[in-house]
Amino acid sequence: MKDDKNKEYSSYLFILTIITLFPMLQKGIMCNDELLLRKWAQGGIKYFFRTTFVNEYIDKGRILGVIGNLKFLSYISDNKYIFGAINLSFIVIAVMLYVLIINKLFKEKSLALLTGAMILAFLPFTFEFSVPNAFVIVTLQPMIFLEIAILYHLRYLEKGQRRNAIISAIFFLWSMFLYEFLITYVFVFTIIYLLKKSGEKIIDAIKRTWYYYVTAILYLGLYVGQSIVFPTNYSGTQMGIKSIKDILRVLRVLFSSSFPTYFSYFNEKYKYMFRYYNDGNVKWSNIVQLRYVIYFVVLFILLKKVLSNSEKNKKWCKKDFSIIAIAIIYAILPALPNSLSLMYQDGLNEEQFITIPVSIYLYFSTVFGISYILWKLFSVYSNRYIITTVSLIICILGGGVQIRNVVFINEQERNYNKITNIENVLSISYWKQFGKIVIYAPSLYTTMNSLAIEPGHWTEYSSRYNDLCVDGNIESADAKLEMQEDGDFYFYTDKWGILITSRLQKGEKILDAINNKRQVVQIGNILWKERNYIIYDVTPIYYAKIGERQYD
Amino acid sequence: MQTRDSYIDVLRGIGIISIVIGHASWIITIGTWKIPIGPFVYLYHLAIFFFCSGYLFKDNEKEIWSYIAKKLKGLYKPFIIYSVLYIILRNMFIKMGILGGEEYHVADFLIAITNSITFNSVGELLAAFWFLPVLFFSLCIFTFIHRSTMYIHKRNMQLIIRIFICAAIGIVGLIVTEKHYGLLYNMQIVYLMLPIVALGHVYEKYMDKVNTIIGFPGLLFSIFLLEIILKSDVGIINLSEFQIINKYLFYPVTIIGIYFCLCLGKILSYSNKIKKIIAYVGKNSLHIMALHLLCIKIVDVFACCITGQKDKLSLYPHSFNNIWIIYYIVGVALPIMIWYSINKVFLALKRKKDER
Repeated sequence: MKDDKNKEYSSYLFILTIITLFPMLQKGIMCNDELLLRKWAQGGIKYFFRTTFVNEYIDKGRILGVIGNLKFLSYISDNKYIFGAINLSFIVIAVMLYVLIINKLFKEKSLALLTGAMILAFLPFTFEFSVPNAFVIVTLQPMIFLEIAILYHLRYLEKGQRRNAIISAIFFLWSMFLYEFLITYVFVFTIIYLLKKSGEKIIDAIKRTWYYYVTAILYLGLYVGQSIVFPTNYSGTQMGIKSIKDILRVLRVLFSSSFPTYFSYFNEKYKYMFRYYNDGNVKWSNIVQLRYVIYFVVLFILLKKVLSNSEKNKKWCKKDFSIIAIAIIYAILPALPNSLSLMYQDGLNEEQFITIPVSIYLYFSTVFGISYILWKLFSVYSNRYIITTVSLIICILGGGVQIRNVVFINEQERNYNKITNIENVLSISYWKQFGKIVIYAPSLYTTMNSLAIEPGHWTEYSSRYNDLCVDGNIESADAKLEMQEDGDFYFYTDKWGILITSRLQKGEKILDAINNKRQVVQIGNILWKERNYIIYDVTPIYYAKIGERQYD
Repeated sequence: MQTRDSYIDVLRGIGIISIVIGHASWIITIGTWKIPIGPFVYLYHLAIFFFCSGYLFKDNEKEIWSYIAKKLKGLYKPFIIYSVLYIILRNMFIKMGILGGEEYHVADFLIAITNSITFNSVGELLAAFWFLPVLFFSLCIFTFIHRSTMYIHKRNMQLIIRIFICAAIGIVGLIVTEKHYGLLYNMQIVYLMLPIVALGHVYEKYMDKVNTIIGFPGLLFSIFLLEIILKSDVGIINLSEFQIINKYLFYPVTIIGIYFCLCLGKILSYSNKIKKIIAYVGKNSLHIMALHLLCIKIVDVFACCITGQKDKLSLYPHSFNNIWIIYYIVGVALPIMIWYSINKVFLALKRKKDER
């Protein structure tokens, strides 16, 4: 019977996972760093490893991070669904291991499930450079290793085999190799020891977990060695203190942004962005969606069951407050190394960067803290109606997050589709007939939200297919290329023009030209057909005024 | 055993109600919510019948020809009866205005009768009957595969080989359907549906294990997946129009659709009353299939009289978009009532005859 219940809860959690993380398959790449990696991967696996090794590890002084790094997995294919599925699986593993740790640590399935559900329900998709939007494997592989280390530590505490302690320490070291700030988690092992062996003194616990401190010191030694052998020029890892106020600001912004619903209800920038991309505030059409209804039902059932099932008649004790305090500390502490970086002291505030890769760690900790408070509250004051009300409130708040997620993901998908559209057009063999020409194409370099395209990106991309130099700055180029709102491309000189489109077209059409001009053109004969694209000969008739009707 | 059969009737009930829904509406609007109910039910509504037939297939079915004769009686006989009835009444329907097109003359009658004798659907208000020959031939081929693999000693190997053969034929079906090759008796759909028949048969064997993942969470999950498929605009399933989304997605989507029906069936079966009603609908699915389009047009006759829009009457399969709920109820209930009444009359006549 108990097994059936657990199976039921797990299946609800599984559905919630799929519903909330499904956008991972939809969004594609949303930041420049990942676009760069994608371009390298498109150059072949050898080129990818060589380039990332130099640019990501040697230049940034992170040579230790190369050990067993699985970042390449995201780029084994440039298909967005494969990219998304791999990233999604890392998130799922990270969340599930977290749930497992909580379950093993507290022996409370309801607390573990509640935390898992809350993490998923409130996980925000934004334009920030953090999980789940970007750097998924980079950030979550070390998290997964840390979680494995903690699980082995728990096993060691339960079963006492030394092998478990050694494996745990190795995974902890490995996780630090992959992300430096994980050194702040060295205390977690001692804390877990204290939670498991109640009544022990802190000093004794430290003594019992000495090997983690030795591992951390070993890592520090290696880190210093690495920075001597490969001096870094990456500002993200260069420490410095501009002012204490800046450090505190970084910590404050990161801490507050790790709160569930922060991006939906508290950050002005994202509130504005939502209204902008949604054509106004939350509408009925945002809510009346099957996906949303299922999310609501699943989360409500899960919360209600989990909260009703928490062990009753427990009283608040010192241990509970300590656990909440630790959760709060770990919603700040991992960000401390980043706050000491000059780059973040400059650029991290409510208007620019709001979250950074470490934020997902803070988010997990914050959500655990909130879940623990809720779980404890309902253990002490159990009331059916209050549980229903609280579950409903959580669902409504989480629903707000999901509504915003859908809108932002749709925008990210549009941005990504533009990139793939440009890639497809630049790779057709039609261009070969032009030989080495310089094309002025500023619209191809337009930044779309967080997706900036670095100078020379498209020239480098094209070099695999043709000799085009696609530039965003050289106005005195041989020809001009302008991407249209509908995904078509207008390629032209003063004497002739062509339209690259994926649809059959005829008659007159208004096309966007360089420098915010518009041209009315007569669509002529088909010059070329390749893949999905049709290339039309077009004759410019006259320059149109902004707002003139578009022919199709 | 009793429970299993009624569960299968519930599944059939869900299938036939979905067929009526699919023919009575495509996109329904509730407030600002546009629900693509038609494309949704089309994702599974026919496959579930093949699945049920596979489930009901008995392993001890040793005599191929007696089984085929049984199926012929069950499918061909009503096919002929309803077809002939429709052919006879067709001119009357045209005169009433519920059917468009030209009236039949003697030659047309002859052609139509010959077509129906040779198990070809007459179309129009009996359009849904194209499904019966497809089901018949699917079961014939499945029986043949089953029979010819019976000599393999190991049971598991038997099953694996059967699945493999059905899957291979299914792949042929995918290719043929995607290339729009219309084979005689819609054999392309027969090929497509063989793996589904096999799936139903496998389900019967492993029912206890599979049922552990069937329930309310599964229902929500399958609805979510089916909605994604519809929203992603990859295409729809409409077998009679050669639409199978694409060759990679057809089976996964169909299986999700069947899973949806299994979960829905289980949820509905929690209430004994609902279970009985849906199972009763399922038991009469053949008659509903035959009569629902006519019943929808009967609703249209009344609706056109009330609204005065008689020019709309000949629209097929229904004249109005906003009275779908009436179409659903009448499309399911009226055929049952008609069949029930006919049955009663026949029984009474038989009783009288016996008394004499």
